[in-house]
Amino acid sequence: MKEEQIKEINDLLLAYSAGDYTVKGKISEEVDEIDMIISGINMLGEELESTNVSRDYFSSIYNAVTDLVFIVDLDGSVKEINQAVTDLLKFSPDELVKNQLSIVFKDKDIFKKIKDRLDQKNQKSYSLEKTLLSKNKEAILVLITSSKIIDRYGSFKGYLISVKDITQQKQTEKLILQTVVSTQQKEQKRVADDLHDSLGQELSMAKLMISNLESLKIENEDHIHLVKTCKDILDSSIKQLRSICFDLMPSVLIKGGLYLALEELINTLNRQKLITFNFKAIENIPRLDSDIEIVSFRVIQEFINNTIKHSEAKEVNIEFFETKDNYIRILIKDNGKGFDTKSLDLKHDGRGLNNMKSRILAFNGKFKLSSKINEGTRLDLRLPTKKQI
Amino acid sequence: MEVPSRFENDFVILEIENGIMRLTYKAGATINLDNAKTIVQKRLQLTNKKAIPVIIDDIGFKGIEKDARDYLSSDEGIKGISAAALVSKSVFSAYLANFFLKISFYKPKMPARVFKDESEARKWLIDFV
Repeated sequence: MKEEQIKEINDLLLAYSAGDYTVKGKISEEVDEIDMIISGINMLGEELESTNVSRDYFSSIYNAVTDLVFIVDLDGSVKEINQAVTDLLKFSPDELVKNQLSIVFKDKDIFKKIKDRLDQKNQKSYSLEKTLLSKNKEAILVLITSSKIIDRYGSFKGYLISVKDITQQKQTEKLILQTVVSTQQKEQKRVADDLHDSLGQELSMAKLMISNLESLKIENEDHIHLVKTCKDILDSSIKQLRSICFDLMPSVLIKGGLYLALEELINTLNRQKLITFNFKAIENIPRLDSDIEIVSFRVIQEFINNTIKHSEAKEVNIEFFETKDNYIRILIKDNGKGFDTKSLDLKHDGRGLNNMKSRILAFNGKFKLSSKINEGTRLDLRLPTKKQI
Repeated sequence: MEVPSRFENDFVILEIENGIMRLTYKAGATINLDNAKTIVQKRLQLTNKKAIPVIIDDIGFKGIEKDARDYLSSDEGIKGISAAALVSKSVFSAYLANFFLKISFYKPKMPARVFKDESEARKWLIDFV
């Protein structure tokens, strides 16, 4: 019996060494010491098989995921990557594993940002948009979602960084925003044209008729007073209508372009004598795509309105010039009290700024706003001279 | 001296004495998932769901099936155990039990040790009563 049991153990160990953990040793009815050993080896085999199956199963899922997955240790060093990483970034696993995560990101402080946010705020996960760099330096816009890896005993083992390519999504969002803005602008132009052509014409005609009444030379005090009052009301109505039409869609912007529209806006503002606006521009500024001209004019208008309302500035300098890389650059700087850009309320001021920025970005422009307390605020816009969609 | 509480069926004996539960697998018994659930249920009934230390005497049993092992090492399976002492007189069994206690799948969430001698195990468990 003992000899049979020893053979059983021998066969079991041979099978396990060949990687076959499905074999089980037979246990006799006596349940003696050797049976206990066989039972123990059987249990060990089951565990090894279960581990192998789990690992293979996990590996196949890990590599089938289309998002890029990085397993990063506590110091930001890459421990593992999935197939999607090598497919998209063209780095081999050897080039990334044991290197810092930042090697594949444009933002070299990326790991610190993720770590700080997950550690300090005790968040379960943290998402942010960043730019990934492939081996051939191609920039890819991505959404990063990170979380801590905690094992079943509660020990903190590292970070799971999941990265999704959102280039296509961003492109679609941009097109939607372009369409929304463009449609809105067309509608505003239509309303402005309608107002000008119908109500505007009728008001002008009424004013002409009143002038005809004046020429009748009726020497009656009441009549003269009534005609004058009507004329004043009509003048004021025509002025207000022009102002509404300008706000809806400045005809000078459509006919003359951004440069002339800005010049007119600045002349109007300087007449109000609230702040001194200095306008400096080169000659022969090319016309831009009409949508970009309207969007940027609105953004500049909003920035100037904010300056008048909040900055306490005495002077605003506006520069308008063309760059060598086919952009029109508009720099606006006030000498006001400035503000802390980081402390902007995201629901109010911050949202307004984000709206300005996203509208410019939607038309392939560039938007940079900077401000320092007591040093003023600066808006730097770059607008493409050719439509780049 | 308190009166020991006791439960016995075909595959296990559970008895409490001096605040320590002794769990003995019967000779020739194989523990499957249903048996494992019965053991946990009866154990909690005896202890009135209070956490107490447990001595596990493995002499005589044929083995514990995989899903029963998984269950017994789960949060539900260890409910009501403040510490566990495995008593094994066989060197190989002791070695194997230690191995199972160290590998991650069954690494227990409560204090657990393997002893060759039951009196040593009881001494160690006193602190967990």
